[in-house]
Amino acid sequence: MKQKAAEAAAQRDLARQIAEEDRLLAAHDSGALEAYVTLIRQRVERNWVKPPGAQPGLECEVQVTQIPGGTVAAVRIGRCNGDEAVRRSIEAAVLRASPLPLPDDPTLFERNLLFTFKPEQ
Amino acid sequence: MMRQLAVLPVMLLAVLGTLTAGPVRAELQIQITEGVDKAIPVAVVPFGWQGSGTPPPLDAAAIIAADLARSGRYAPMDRQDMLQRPTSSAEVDFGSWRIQNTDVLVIGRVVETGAGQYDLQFQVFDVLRGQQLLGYRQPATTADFRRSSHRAADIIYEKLTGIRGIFSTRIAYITVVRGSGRIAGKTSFRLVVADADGENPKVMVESPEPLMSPTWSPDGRKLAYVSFEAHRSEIYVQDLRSGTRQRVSARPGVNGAPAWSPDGRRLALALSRQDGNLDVYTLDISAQMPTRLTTSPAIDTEPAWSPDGQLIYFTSDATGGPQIYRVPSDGGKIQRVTFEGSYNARPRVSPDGKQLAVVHNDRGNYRIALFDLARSTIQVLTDGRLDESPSFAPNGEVLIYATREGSRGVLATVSADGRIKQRISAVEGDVREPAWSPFSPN
Repeated sequence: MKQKAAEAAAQRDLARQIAEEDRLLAAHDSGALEAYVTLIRQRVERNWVKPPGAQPGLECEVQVTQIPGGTVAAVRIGRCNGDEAVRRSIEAAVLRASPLPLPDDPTLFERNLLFTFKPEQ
Repeated sequence: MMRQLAVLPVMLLAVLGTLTAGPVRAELQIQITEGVDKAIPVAVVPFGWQGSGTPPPLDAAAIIAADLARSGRYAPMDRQDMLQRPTSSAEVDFGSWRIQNTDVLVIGRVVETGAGQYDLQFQVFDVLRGQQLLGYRQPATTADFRRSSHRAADIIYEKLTGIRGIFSTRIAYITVVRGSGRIAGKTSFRLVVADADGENPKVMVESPEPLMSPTWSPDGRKLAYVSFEAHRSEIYVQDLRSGTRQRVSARPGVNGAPAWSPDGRRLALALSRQDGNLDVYTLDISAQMPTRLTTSPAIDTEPAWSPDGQLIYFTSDATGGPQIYRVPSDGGKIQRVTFEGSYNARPRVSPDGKQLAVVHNDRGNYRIALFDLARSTIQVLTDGRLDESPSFAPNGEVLIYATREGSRGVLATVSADGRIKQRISAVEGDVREPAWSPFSPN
């Protein structure tokens, strides 16, 4: 039966996702994922030259797609309350940071990254 | 400071009970809370020349590069390091500039449009994205070529930072030249107007007696100043282009510290009148009628207008040491503004009206500080021993002030965040009392 097959597929999908989630949670617990995120964060922060408009209160989301190897393939600015110079500085920070650092555990590699630029001072 | 380390594990987007769970978009979330303070690498390629007559007298690209460098936000590439020198967009190879770690590329051409007339045609590129950010044509003549190049730098700076550039603005200041003035062997006082980088100085007034306290009209066409040429203080208003001048205040006693109102109609000033005690007044320039704002037995002086013209800030020693007070410009209740420290004097209001630049006694040294009007906090910006006369650039990003180098007064600038300090080395003589012009009319 068609519906049954679809249901089974969805169940398998869900199981896969749960397994994925468990694996990431485990990685999180071990600190490996956090270490990976920290590496990326530090590299982007080192490459972000803040323009005058980047003050506390700024919040910009940036969707970044990287390909295996860490090369940035796409940068898309999402919700952002910064001016043109701020947006350009953010895009430049991500592009300059490319290739992004890779995780020690290759299974932690993640194609899609969501950065939130939110300067504290 | 607490840093939020947002390491959120991937969230399941699939919802139980839905049979059409789409592709799950896994995503790592990363918070960026810090950046670096560093100059952005830029290349300003020497401009090309298209014309049959004499090439222009100055190097526009060099002037633009020097302006960008002086802002502290950009680090121009040395010309000898340029592997290519494109002068049109078709010649730009972004890959090559990327390898040299250049983020911003400026190219241009000087095109002759008539005898002694040119167009500065220039383009600005975002090298990382391989995109043109700006294309512009700035007319220029042989006579105003330097100024037009500064204007080009203003336009580029505004495009890159979102802040209006100040490279084509000017500064006024007083120099004291000992023993080499117009009158041999005598000390000479000069009121000088120069470009914001100190180049192109022009003596507007020269006198064997002291000149003091230059202040710009809001349209940038006139200066008011104090002159002792009649062996007592008088206030003059002088047109910069024609040189004609008008004496606007020569009352008995001290006529000092003029400050032009934002609408250009009035001067705030300090007068002592007969009783010898300084008070703050406003003076309607055309009617020449003074209005008294303070009446205390203290010394009230150094008035400065808020940008909306509603308030006048001034220095008063009513409580002992000098502190900043304010009074409505049409008269009214006087309020004390500064309380921190033993000495806060000579206020200047930032263009956004939110801060005062003051001379502040910082552990025995006189330094330029910013006083935040909303938070009542003071931030010391400079590190000299006798820094004086702060004046805001019209975009509020930078202040100019006078400092000591040995026994000589020199001019320096400091960014409003205190990060970037520079000497204006082009200015000679014993220099004091700099005043930054407003944005210039086009």
